[in-house]
Amino acid sequence: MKLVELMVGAYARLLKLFPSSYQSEYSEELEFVMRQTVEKTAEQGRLSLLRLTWRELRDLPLAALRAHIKEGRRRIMASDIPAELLEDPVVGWKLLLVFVPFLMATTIPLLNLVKGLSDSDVLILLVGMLAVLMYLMIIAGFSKGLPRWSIPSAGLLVGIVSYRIFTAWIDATPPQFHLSSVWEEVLFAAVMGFIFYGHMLLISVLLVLVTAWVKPLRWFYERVRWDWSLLSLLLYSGALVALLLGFGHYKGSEPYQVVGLLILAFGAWVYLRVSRPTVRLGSLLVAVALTMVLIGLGKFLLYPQQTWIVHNTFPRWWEAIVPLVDGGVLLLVIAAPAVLMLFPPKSGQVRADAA
Amino acid sequence: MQTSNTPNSLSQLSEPAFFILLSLSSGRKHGYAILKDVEDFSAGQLVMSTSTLYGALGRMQYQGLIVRISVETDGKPRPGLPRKFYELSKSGRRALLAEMQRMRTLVSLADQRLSGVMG
Repeated sequence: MKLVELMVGAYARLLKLFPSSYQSEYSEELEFVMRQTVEKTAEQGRLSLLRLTWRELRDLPLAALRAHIKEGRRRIMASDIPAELLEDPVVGWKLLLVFVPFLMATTIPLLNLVKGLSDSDVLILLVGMLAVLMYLMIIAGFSKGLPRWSIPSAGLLVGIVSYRIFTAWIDATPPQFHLSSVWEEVLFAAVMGFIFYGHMLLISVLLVLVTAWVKPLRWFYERVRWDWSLLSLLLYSGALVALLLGFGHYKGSEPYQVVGLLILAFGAWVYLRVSRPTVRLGSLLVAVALTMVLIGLGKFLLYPQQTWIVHNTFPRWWEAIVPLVDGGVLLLVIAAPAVLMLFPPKSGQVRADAA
Repeated sequence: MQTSNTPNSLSQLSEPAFFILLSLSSGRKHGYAILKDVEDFSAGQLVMSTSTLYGALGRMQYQGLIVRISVETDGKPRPGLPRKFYELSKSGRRALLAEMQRMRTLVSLADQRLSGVMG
């Protein structure tokens, strides 16, 4: 009997390896089962007890690890976000749809690289087809309450609309500043970045508010309230706009654009693969930061090869630093929805809203 | 938007899950009874550790295949007696039948092929 007590006692100690919630739920039951098993096995001899010990020691670490992983997932998903707001994992064709805006954006520099295709009907046809697909995705996405696979496309639309409003605003009231130093130029670039990305943020917030009022879209509003990183994903597409426009008249920028777009697509992929909102946001921020550094580096390296630099008043380093300033602003805008985390909805609120 | 746990989506049960469902098909049982029952009717082919058993029970409970029942004790301690039992749910019963059907189909296909090969 002493051996039985010893084994059950040791087993009870090993159960401490499991998460506390698991222990409070199962430890009493597990100890009971273990006691019964040890008592019956002891009747069959010491060899049987040895086999039992080996079996338990072999399986327990993996079971404890699994319980910890499950507990981690439960904390992230089930305890925070109500079940009705959980989305299916983005896999298969939905994952491919996520990349449509990135693919569309990549097509432009890629075809520019192929001599003779840049102004051809092939380019127009291909980009046109992808644009049609993207608009169809946006329509399908809105009709389904903006699931995650549709958000990058909707975000690119928000980016394009913001750009149109921004350029119309600049054309109507051109800013009249006398910038006397390079640092003032940098500050000016930051202000312009805030105005452009501020438009994006404003339009995105307006979109979220609209979804709160339109019943078929309300699912998106509810999800954003629980997972603010969805709004960040919407704003993330602004980086696509920045990447396509950031190089301006630079010749030979296509490889940098393609690599930048691949980085952004990878950032979106990581976002869809992880469940913790902070890690999701981190993947978007890292991808944008890398892309903006790439634009800056590209400009710095390509600068001497440009024919127009003889008329350019801006030094090489300034050309390289502007994308970093612009990127810094974009990072702040993408991270801005994190403020929503400070105001989490109450548990019963969504169920009441959904009812 | 959560995935449904239809028997079809769970058509291939793990060996412990299948034996646990089979054990519970004759009525509710507590953990140790399941452990022994599985060991007995599998003729010692499947001897589960407590970790494996409770890992499987937890997953199956989450999938809605089984239900965990607490026995009311009116606040009185019942030392040496189990207070939690497991019971087959309707979807658990459907999953078990679907799995058995799947196995029958496999065996039938194998029989057809072997009878052709072996004459």
